[in-house]
Amino acid sequence: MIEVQSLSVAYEGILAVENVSLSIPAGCSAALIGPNGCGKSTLLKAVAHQIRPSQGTVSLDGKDSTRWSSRQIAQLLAYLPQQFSAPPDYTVRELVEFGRTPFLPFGRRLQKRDRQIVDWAIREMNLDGFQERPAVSLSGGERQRVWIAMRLAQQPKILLLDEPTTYLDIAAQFETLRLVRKLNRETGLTVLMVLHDLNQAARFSDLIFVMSGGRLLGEGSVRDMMTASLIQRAFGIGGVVADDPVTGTPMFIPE
Amino acid sequence: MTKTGRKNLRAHRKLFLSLLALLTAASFFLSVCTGAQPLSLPEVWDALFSTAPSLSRTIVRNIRVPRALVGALAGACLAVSGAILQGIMRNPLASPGTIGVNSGAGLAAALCLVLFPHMEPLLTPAAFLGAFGTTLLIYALSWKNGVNPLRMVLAGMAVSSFVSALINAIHLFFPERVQNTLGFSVGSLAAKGWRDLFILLPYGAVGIGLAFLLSGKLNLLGLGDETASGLGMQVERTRFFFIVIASLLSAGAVAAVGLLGFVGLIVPHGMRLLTGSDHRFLFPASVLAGASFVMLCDTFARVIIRPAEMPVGVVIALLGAPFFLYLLRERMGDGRE
Repeated sequence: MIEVQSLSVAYEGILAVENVSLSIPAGCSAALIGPNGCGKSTLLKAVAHQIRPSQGTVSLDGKDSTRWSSRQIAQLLAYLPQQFSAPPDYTVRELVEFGRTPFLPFGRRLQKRDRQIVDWAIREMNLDGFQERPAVSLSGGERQRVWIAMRLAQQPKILLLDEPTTYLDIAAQFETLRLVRKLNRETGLTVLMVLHDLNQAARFSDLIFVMSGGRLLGEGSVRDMMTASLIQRAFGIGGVVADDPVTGTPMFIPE
Repeated sequence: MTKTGRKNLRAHRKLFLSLLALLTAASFFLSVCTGAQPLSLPEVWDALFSTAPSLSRTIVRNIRVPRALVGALAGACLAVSGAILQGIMRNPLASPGTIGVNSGAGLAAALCLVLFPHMEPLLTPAAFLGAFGTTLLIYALSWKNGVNPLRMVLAGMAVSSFVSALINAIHLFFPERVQNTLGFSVGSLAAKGWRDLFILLPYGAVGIGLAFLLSGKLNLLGLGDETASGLGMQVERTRFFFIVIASLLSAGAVAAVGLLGFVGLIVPHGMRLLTGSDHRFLFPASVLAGASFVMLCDTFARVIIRPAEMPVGVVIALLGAPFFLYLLRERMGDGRE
């Protein structure tokens, strides 16, 4: 579903991503982890076609998408950046409706089918009661769900999330990740997200990619990647890995 | 309280637009009634619609109506230009005045008056080239992997003061032509006639028409570059196109009436506070409010030191600066990040 081949990205002359190849099967939930500045956000942006790679190709849905128009990309893939802003007066529903943009011909208003898709996206993100409220009056977690709902309104096959839980309290972090996981399981949505919390990555994904210094340090199942030695190599912090008493997934505890 | 107030207004945006349209009509008639020889509304009505020749008919048809219409259209152009610039830069301080588009147009127009004093048809195209050239310069100066809106506002302020200095230099070196160019730095509707209206009309019609047509794209751009491009928009290309429209509108207005600095700043800002950020409503509201604002200020300018009249640009600056400060305070109070 997502196929990256020998991808390199240079930012102002500095190589941020160096010769990375990876493959994520359809319906899989994958997490990208690594220390600050290791190039994981840059890699995500390149997969989202937000920046042009200096070398290598990206394929989506089995087709080389490197030269697709941004509209073609937006019809298949939704990308949630780390930072965003919106005018303070838009309501939740108005914001989610923007997600239909890639499907609307010039000058065409939302049709009945578009409105049904918007209804669905709002329901999936538990925002039913907030539709007519201005988005600024919501809590951080609710607002994050509005932004994800906007992406769901694109009805994407692939969802890319850049640190979706940063700035959220623990309850909002888990609600966000649970809702995304539920969509992934129920609709076969392919998910690739950059996460800082290793234990959340272990709990909410099938595959983990570890990056360091612009290169891919490891890729594989959660159990194969969550090892004390790999984490020591990537982050430079020692610790032990034990099974999480609630879910049984591996958990890293720093020394 | 402001929150519920705004919510109510959003729900009644169409009603608000109708009221603004009424205000525009009222401003028009007030402007036409006012002058060295005051006329009553029935007199104006007769002058407009009867065929009997009279002095008031000549005054109304040849002087007052075109003057009001030139002011209205210039105000509408500047307000929409400001609404576009505030939208693409996501900055309430952006306007054709503050980012140097107006002064670029003013410089080109002043040069044109000094170099080709008898070629008035060249004035509007020259002003457009000046506005557009200045905008391109600001765009280039603020370019670094795409345009950062804040950098663009700052570059605009620097370029703007540089260009204003050049305009002052022209005044200094060609004092015999100051008569001609003074109108450009202050902005006045004195002696504007049908000809000025027809020069401004194509710029206004094309610019405002395109703005209305593309209002949805400007809304998308308001969500941030990454969100907009993630939803399939060609961000840099779209932003550039909007900058062309904004320069076109402000150049037309500056060539026709000179510099009316605060209109493009206050009117769209005020309308954004009242009707919200959706440009499908903000543009029509700016057109109507910009037109009313300039006509009302011009009316005031003609009565305050009667029988002499003040340039409307002075009145707008005097009213505009305090009003802008008031808006800033209001806005700071409503908790926007």
